[in-house]
Amino acid sequence: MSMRAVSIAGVGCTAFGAHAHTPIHELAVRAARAAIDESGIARADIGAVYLGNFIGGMLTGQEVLAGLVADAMGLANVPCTKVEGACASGGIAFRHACLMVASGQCDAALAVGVEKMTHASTAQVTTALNAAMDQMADARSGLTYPGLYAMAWRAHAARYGTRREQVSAVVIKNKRMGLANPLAQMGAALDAAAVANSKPIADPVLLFDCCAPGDGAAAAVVVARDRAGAGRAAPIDVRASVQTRGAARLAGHADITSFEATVSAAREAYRQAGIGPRDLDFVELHDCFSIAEILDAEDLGLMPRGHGGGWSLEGRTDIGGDLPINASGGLLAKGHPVGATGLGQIYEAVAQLRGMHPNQVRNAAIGLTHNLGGTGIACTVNILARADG
Amino acid sequence: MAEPIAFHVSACARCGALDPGGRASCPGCGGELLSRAVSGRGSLLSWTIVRRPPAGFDAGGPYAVALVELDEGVRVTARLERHDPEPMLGQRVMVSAVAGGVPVASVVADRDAR
Repeated sequence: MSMRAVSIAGVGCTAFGAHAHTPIHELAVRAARAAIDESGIARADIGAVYLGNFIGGMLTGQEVLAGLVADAMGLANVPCTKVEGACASGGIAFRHACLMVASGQCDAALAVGVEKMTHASTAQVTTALNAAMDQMADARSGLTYPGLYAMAWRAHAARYGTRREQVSAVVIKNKRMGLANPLAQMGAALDAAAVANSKPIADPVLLFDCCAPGDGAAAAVVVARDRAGAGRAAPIDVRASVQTRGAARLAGHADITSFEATVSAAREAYRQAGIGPRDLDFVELHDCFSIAEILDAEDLGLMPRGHGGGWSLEGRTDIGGDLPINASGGLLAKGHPVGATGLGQIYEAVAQLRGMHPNQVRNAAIGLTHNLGGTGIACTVNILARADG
Repeated sequence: MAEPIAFHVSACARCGALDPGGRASCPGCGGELLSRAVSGRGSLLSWTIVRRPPAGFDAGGPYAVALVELDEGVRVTARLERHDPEPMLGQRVMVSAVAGGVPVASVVADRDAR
């Protein structure tokens, strides 16, 4: 099947953080309306809706979110589909919207991701997030996501000598980026001592190594490339959009310092875009924990295996470094309203490629987004570029 | 000193592949998975101490969780008995109990390792 070229015509994103008085579907509507307004596409011309959400049913009791959001916005009676792939739900929604347009099913589609978490207790949120583990395996052991990444960290440290101060450098960088991002939940000026003295969560993971639960939504309108350009901001090309699966259980990973879903998604995305990691100007990746930024960057081929910690401490992933990572503040500082995150990354990447980001990477022409779910069971990687990039 | 116990994983009746359990059929060939006793001995791939447990696990927190590679070649997510000094990765362990369907691994002292 021949596929059409796809562009992003509009994006929208709420602030990530606490939205105590806004129902979950209204958060999604707010982001989606902003994306449609920017796109120049009439609501009647949106031919499909994909909504990414992970634990809305469990934490808010609200299901059928895709149709609910379309109804609230007065969209046409088009197919509206909720997709779920744990923390990769937003990225999966984006890819499916792209596929609908690429395959010619419609000329414009809406992707929106949303989550609402801050009204629930830590134990409720931890339990809900743990639904992304195999309930017949890992979940029964009392393992948590901080615990899973803690085990990966310990193995990475044993093999490559990765040190606390290298991992802390990820936190310090991303929290600093968050200070300048008006949509970020918790930017902060931290030093190594503040990170190292934060409360233990799952040894060696400390509190500041973790992203916080959040509320928020993000959206994108994707269109056939020959329909792009009607909006009030520059359209951005989708050069690659890939989704993969990895092991459902911790025991299924050949190497617990690497997620095979990321490795295979990146390989296919680079092939589709006809580029390699050295061609990237910036990356937004899934730093649900500080150590995750190091593991993910190595899995994406951004630096040699075992060098992620060194690159971090040496500032090579900072703005102005070899390859800036998470200039948005990432999940650690911008926040991680789970189902919204993959589309939040798209929003940030589009801002970079339009030259309008609060932490602008100079001459950003091509960037990558990476969204990883559960125990590495689902992954999406997108490569986005300026139309002239 | 903890003693090894009878510990069971799943084995495919058709192709013989091992699975840590919790599945009815073999991911590889679709064959029926049956319970099989294994040595319970293996090595420690990694471990952590969970200090913020999910709801329902609060009474057990903090507790240690480990990924163990059994000598038969199958990996299991297990609870880990506290050990002083902290265990090193690669250290020998054995399954010394099963609690709520979850194996509990204990570090094997050097003199008992084999």
